Amino acid sequence: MENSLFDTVGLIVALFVSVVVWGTLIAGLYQIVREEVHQARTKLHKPRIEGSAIRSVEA
Amino acid sequence: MSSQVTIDAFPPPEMAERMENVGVSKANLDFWSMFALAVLAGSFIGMGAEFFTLVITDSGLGFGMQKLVGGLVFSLGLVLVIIAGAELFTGNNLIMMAWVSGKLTLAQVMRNWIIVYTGNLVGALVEVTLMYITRQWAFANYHVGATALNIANAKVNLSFTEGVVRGVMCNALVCLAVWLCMSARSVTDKILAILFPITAFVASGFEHSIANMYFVPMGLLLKDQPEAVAAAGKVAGDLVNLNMQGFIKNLVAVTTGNVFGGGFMVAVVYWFIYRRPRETERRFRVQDVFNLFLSPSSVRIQKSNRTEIEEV
Repeated sequence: MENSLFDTVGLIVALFVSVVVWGTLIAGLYQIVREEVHQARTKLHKPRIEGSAIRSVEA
Repeated sequence: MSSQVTIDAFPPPEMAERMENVGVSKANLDFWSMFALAVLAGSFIGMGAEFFTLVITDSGLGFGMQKLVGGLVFSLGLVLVIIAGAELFTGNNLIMMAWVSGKLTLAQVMRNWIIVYTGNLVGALVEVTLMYITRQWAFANYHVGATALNIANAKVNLSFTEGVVRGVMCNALVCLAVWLCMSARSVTDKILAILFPITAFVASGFEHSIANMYFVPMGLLLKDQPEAVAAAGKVAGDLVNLNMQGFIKNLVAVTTGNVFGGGFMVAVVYWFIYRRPRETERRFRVQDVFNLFLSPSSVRIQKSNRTEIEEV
């Protein structure tokens, strides 16, 4: 009886720890993906005129 | 006129500040430096684990003394990591303090952890390969190999709950060792700060994910050595769980526990005690916790604005 009580408590603790830790890890991974996507988009939409404008000024 | 030299340890509030700054510099390392330092840490912990296996074999000591001596020699791993300089995943769980302070984003913390964890695995596996080639496991009539096999078999036979909770307890002690090092001013201070927490976790049989990256693969290799299996007094049926699946299951449970024990039970708790925003600055709100996960940049901006206001 006593053992099964502690088994249940242990399981609850392990589940709580897992939810907190994996929740944090997944949130972190989501942020990494979001940053990468943001950077990729910024690169994609970088105005190409800058380079040519500099070249024309240099010329 | 002369500058005053002090040998007093840093007090805890200063330790917390130093820990945050160390966390920021760790997270901002370039990829290759971080990875190379992580490989070193994996092999350093492997060296500690190998030393532990050798020393506890046929020691002739009683149970407690054997554990104590084993724990002391295992401390070699963290001493090398701290003094020589290396990136250890379990120790780096403390950089959560810089995250909750808003000095790092969760993405930066996670990038550090992923690179360091992978590097630690590579380092530990290199160490396993080297130690296997040395045939050190054949020492003492294969009893060193038998010890390694028994350690690995015990680890893969832990239940998920045991793995998680032993992982929590282990990394609370490891991170406390690293935390104590923040108070140190000399190499001697650091070594003394490391010895007792590390000895306590090893002697208590707690689970360290990076050490297990050495112990379990070594057992996987020795499982195919009949002399080592015979010296361990095992038959093939006793080692059914000692396989890749058992290794991964153990790592998942123990790593989960390690992150909680080090990151939440040490880093976040000490941040709350010494580094949280005080009443005079800004009331700590539950919303701040959500901001950390959802919009870390806004938290940083708020924090930097506050600093600018203070400076003005």
